[in-house]
This record gives sequence, C-alpha cells and structure tokens, in this order.
Amino acid sequence: MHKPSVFTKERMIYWPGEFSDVVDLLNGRDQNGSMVSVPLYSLNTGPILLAAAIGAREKRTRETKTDNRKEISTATFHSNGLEMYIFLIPILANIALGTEFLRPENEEQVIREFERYVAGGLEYLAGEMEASAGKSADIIVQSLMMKKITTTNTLGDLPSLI
Amino acid sequence: MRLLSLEITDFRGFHGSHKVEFAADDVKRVTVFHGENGAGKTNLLNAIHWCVTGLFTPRFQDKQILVNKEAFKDGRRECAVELVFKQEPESGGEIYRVRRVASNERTLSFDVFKIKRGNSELVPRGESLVRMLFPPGLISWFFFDAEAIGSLELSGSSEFKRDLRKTLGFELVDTLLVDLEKVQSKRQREIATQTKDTALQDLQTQIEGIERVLPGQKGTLLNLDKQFGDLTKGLTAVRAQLEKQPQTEQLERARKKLEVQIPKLEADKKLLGARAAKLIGSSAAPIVLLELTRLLEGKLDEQEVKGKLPSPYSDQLVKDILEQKVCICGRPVNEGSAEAHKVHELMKFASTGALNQRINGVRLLIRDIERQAQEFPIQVQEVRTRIVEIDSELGQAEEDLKEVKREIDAIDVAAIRVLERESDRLDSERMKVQSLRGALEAQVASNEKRHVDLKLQYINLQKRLAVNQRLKQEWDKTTRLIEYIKKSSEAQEHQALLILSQELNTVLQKYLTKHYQAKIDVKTYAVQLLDTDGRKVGHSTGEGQVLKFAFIATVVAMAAKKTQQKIQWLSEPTIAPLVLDAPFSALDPEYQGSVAKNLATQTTQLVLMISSAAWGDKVSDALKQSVGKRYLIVSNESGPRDGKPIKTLVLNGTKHTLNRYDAQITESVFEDITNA
Repeated sequence: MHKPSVFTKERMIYWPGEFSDVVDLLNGRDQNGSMVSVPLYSLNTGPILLAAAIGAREKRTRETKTDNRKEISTATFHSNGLEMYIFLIPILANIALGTEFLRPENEEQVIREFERYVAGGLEYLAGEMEASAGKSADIIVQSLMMKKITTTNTLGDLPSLI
Repeated sequence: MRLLSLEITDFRGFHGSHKVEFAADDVKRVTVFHGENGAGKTNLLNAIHWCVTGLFTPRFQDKQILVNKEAFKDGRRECAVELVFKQEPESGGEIYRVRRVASNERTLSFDVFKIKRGNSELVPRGESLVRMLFPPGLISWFFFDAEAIGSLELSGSSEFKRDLRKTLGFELVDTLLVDLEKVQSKRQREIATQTKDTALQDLQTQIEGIERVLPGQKGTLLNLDKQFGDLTKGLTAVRAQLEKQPQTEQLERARKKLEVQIPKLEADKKLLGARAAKLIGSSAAPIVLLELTRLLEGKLDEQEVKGKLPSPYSDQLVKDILEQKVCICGRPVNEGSAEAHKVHELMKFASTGALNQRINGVRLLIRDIERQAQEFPIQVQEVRTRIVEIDSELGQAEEDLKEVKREIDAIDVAAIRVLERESDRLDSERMKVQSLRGALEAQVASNEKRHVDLKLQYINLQKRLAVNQRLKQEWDKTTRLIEYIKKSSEAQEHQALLILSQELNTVLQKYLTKHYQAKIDVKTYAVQLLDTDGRKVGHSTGEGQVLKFAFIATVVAMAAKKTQQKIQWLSEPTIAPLVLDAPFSALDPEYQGSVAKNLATQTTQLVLMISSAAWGDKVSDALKQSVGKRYLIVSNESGPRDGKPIKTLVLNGTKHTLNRYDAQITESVFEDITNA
C-alpha cells in the first residue's frame, strides 16, 4: 500500500542554482545533461540530501537567493523514500531544540532550515571538488563519508576590528 | 501481397530460363527450396530482391557478374528476372508482373505490368508503384539473408532505429514534423525582425545555426552507422573464412571466444563500477549523519518522557478540558484562570498523532542509518574486490588475444596472410568509424539540447516583447500543432513498442526453454534479452539468435497488422511474403522446429531456402501442414566426379539427389518435388 506523505501539504525546497555543476557531477552529467561519468545518483534528491547531511555535520549554512534558485518538491523526496531526512537533518543540526521541528505547525521552518544546510553543504562540496580536481566523484564522496564531525571552534569568530 | 511465380533467365548460376511457382493460399503458404551450399539459394533470394529493388543483400558477392557465365560464352549479354505477385483482396486483388533486365554493367529495363484477364498492360511509373507495394525501409526485413543473422544489429544504432520507425509507420509523421519545424523557425525569424529586438534576433540566429548543421550531422551519423554495420559484416565474413582454414581453425575459435569474453568482462566491470557508485551514493548521507544521530536518541527519549505526565496524554485531552471547562480531577477550569493557563501550558508537551508519527519515522530512519553504516564497508569491499579480480581477468584475456594474433601472423601461408591483413584492415577501419561515431553522437546530443534551451529562451524573451498579433497567432498555431503531433506520435510510438515487445515475449515464451524476456529501449530501440535475474543475455548465444528470428517475424507480422493486438497505425499495412535464405543454419538444433513454426504462423506467405543439414525432423514436422510447394535446387557440374561426394536428401522416404557430375554445362536447376 502506498504510504502517505508526512507533510501536511506539498512544499518546495529551493537550492542555489550556482551549484548546479556539483549536482550534475554527482549525477554523472555535464552541464549539457550528457552522461560523462559513473553516476552516484539518478535524481537530484540524492545530491541535495548529501549536501544537507554534509552541511549539518560541518555546521555550514547559507541562504538561497531568490534570483537564481532551483527547486525540488517534498513529493519527490517522499516518492523516493527520503522524506524523513528533511525532518531529521534540521533536528540533528539543532539537537537542543529536541523534536520541536517535528510539530506540524513548524513544517515551513523545517523546510527553510533544511534549505540552509543544503546550500551550505553544496558550497562545501564545491570547495572539496575543486580541491580534488581530477578525482572521480565516488572517490571524493567516499573520503567525505569517512570524515569525523567538525568540532566547534572554541575561539569563536574573529572580533570586529572596526 | 503474395508471390505467385518467378522466372529467371541467365541470372548468375541459372542458365537459360527457369520458372518456379510459389505456394500462395492461406493454409498452404510455405514454399521450400532445398539446396546445398553453392547450389544457388542466395542467388535465388537475390533474384527476387534485385527484381523488386535493383539492389542486392549485403553479403551478395561479385555484383558485377550477373549474366550466367555459360550464357555469356554463348554470346548472350543480358539476364532477366520476372516476378508475378498478387495484391491482397482487400487491396484490390490486382495481379502484377515485374520484369528487370540487366547486363553485367547496368539495368537495361524495368517494367511493371498489370495482368487483366490474361493480358499484360504496362503500368506507367511502375517504379513508384513497386516502391509503394514494397516500401524500401521494409525490404530488408521481408527478404532476409538469414545466414547473416549474426550481424543483425539489435543494439539500437541510428540506422536500426530509422528502419524500425519506417516499419512501424512513423516516416510520414517524422517528415511532417521536420516541415512544421521549418515553418515555425521561419515565423520566429519574422517575429524577431518585426520586434527589432537584437537579443531575440541573436537567439534566432543561433537557433537557425543549429538547425542548419543538425540534419547534416544526423545524416553523417546514419552513414557512419551503416559503414560500421558493413565493416562488421565484412569482418565477420573474413573471420569465418579464417575459421575454415585448417591452420587457423583453432586459433580463430580461440580469438572469437576471447573477443566475446573481453567486452563481457568490460561490461561486468562497468556494471560493478556503477554498483559501487550507487552504493556510495545511497550510503553517503546516512554515514555522514551517523555520529549526529547518536546524540539525538537521548533527546527523543526525553520527548517521550515529557509526554507522560503522569501518563501519556494527547492534545485532544487538553482540548477537551478547555472546552468542557472541567479537569479530569473535577476542578473547574474557567477561561482566564490560573488553572486554564496551566492546562494551556500542557499543550506544549502534548502528543499529537502527527508528532508521534514523525517521532516514529525519525526513530525508524535512525535504525536504517545504523544498519546502512554497518553494511556499507562490507558491501563496498565486496564490489571493489570483484573489480580487481575482473581487472586481472581482463588483462589476461587481452594478453591471450595478442598471443593468438601473434600466432596467426606467424603462419606462413599466403591465403591466411591475405585474410589476416584484410581482417586487420577491417578491424582498424571499424575502430576509426566507431570513434568518429561516438564523437558525432556527443555533438548531436549537445546540439539538440542547446536547440531546446535556445528555443526556451526565445519563447521567454518573446513573451516580454510587443509582437504583432497576426504573427503571434501564426506562431502559436504552428507550435500547438507541433506539440500535438509530437505528443500523439510519441504515444503511438510507445504503444507500438509495447506491442512489439509483448508479441516478441509471447513468441519467446512459447519457444525458448529458458525463461528469458525481451526488453526494448524506448529511446534507442535497442532490443535486449534478459535472464530471470534481469542480466543481459548475449546476442551471439543460441537464445540470442532465436530472439533475432522472433524479432524479424514479429516486425513483419506487425507491418502487416497481423498481431494479436491492434494499434492506431499512421500508415497503411504492408502485407508481404517473408523470404529467407538459410534460415536455420545459425540456430541451435533445439530451436529450429519452434522457430520454423513461428515463422509460418506469423507470416502470410513464407519462402524458405534451406540446406539438407538444416532440414531435420523438427523443422519438417513444424512445417508439414503449411508447405504447398517444394523444389530442389540441383547443382549440375560439367566436370567428372573424381571421387567427389553426391549429396542427397530424403523426404517422405524418397531419396533425392542434390548434385550431379558430368553434366553438359555447370548450372543450377530447379526440380519440382511437391508431389514426390
């Protein structure tokens, strides 16, 4: 039997279009959409989820600008059995908040939080890929999988010098 | 249409005039020609093929020597083939006689006559009529040199796709779409000029640029496909000759085996590489999150405890208390009171159906993440180990192949050297063509995508400009028409391929001893045989050969609308006989009977040219009810026997001789043994 979506309604998840090449690379395609390497994923849900996971682990967030953004529906995540990750990742990145993110009234907030980690993770992945130019996507991702959680910088941010 | 008779005069091995009649009724619709190698079976197939098209089948050799050699010695310089056929009653039932006359250099005449009450009446523009009755795209399916079945490419080349599209009736709609797109492009140029917008004009210039080069690129791709197919056929023929030489027989077999093994290993390696990548892809996010999930579990437990004061309570309980203004302990809970405020506070930790569902979902996901993290290292290691093993097998096979080549090159026999040099040349040409084809395919794909992108940009920009209403309406109309035709043609294409694959699988299920399934790729039309685990079965296996026969018979049956299911065709059906040379020689004996039966069932008329070696009890039994005409093609040799063999064929207890010596001249003759 088809399991219904846990979202109260279908919502859009936006991600920065400037990282399309990172998503394409993980999907094994070039910018023209032609297959150029062995794909790790066949749909955009895969790279987006990986980016969000990396964003959460590395504590990297970023806002998605409205002028160059791409979208993917929660229904696509649902049909690929990945929907619960949209809840899990914001919770994991904000453990102190407990399960508040799971309340139906906080759905929109969950989505926006998830998007921030997606964008941050994509930025992180883009940097890793640039630094590992020449290596295949599976090798880069496998080395990222083995990394341990980033420890919080105890020194904090640089003080303002103005 | 059905073939009624064929008259051959001084054509190739046939000296003088020879006439045969074909079985053409609904029950007795099979005609069999029995003949040994070299007796003239391929000449007979080509006589029919050439009479109708002016062309020969790809493996037909020495095309420049058409006039029978003995006749040529007698001073005769022309040969002729005359074919009489009848249209199906629903198409008018007309009888036509087609006659082609040629010298060794060229066709001298081609005439088509309509036969009315015994009188022949010349049909003006007969060539067009014959092209309509025997569509060129279909001929290769209907008149088939089955000895070349091994080289029938089902792997989805552009040429194969084009031929199959023609067969399925999409040629007309394809042409229509090309024309409509030209009209649309013309309108776009007019709009760009009218708006005087330089960005729009620039986009249209780029679109036109792609439209100029794309047809040429696609044409070249088709030519390359054809070249590749011809080179493959040539190489197969040369290698077959090498296999016949005693000195190279074993080596050639070893080479053949290695040449099958290497691509298989490469394919396995590619498959494993893809599996490793998928495994990494699907496990990456769970493993990245693993450490964080361990920190979360405590929080989830805490949440559950918060929802248990003193026992689990739901948001509905809180709502009921507030609505009824009475607590479960009996104290009043009036609006604005301290009690009401306290109860409102309880809502924060109350369980809701949705919340519980999500907490459970998260818990299950965490279990799944832990499981994936545990399994991943073992699974990925297994795949990587197998890749290393395959690499080593591949290296060994490539080394063995080089060694076989070195041994063949070392054989000091002139004939073998010539054949091996030819094999090297064809192989290297083939590689070159393959590499050109790959590069061009990428260019075509990139141009097609760019064309779509540019058109989208054009449409978006055009929407923002003030476009003349009339021009806009015309452009809209063309666009809607193109979209409608594309959509409807796509739906029909899918339906046609679905039926083709269903029909094909019905045939395979009936006749294959293994539970294999055929799958047709909607994009490339590649036909693949899959085993029960979904693994590809090679086209060169016994089952692969059956697939090819089943495919030909199904295509012919579909072209004639002679399938179990009907679809809305875009073109008129083509009912034509299936003429096959050496149909069963490439097949495993276990499948010969079933394939024969299938061919007879699927076609309206079947003509088989068959050697005694391929005519076994199974084939004989399968065709018993349907054979209406039977001929021997007897090979007469003018020289003495000198201990050479006399070949015979036993049919219904009667022994027939297939070759004779000490004849007046060397020639092939037909003997009607239908009633023998």
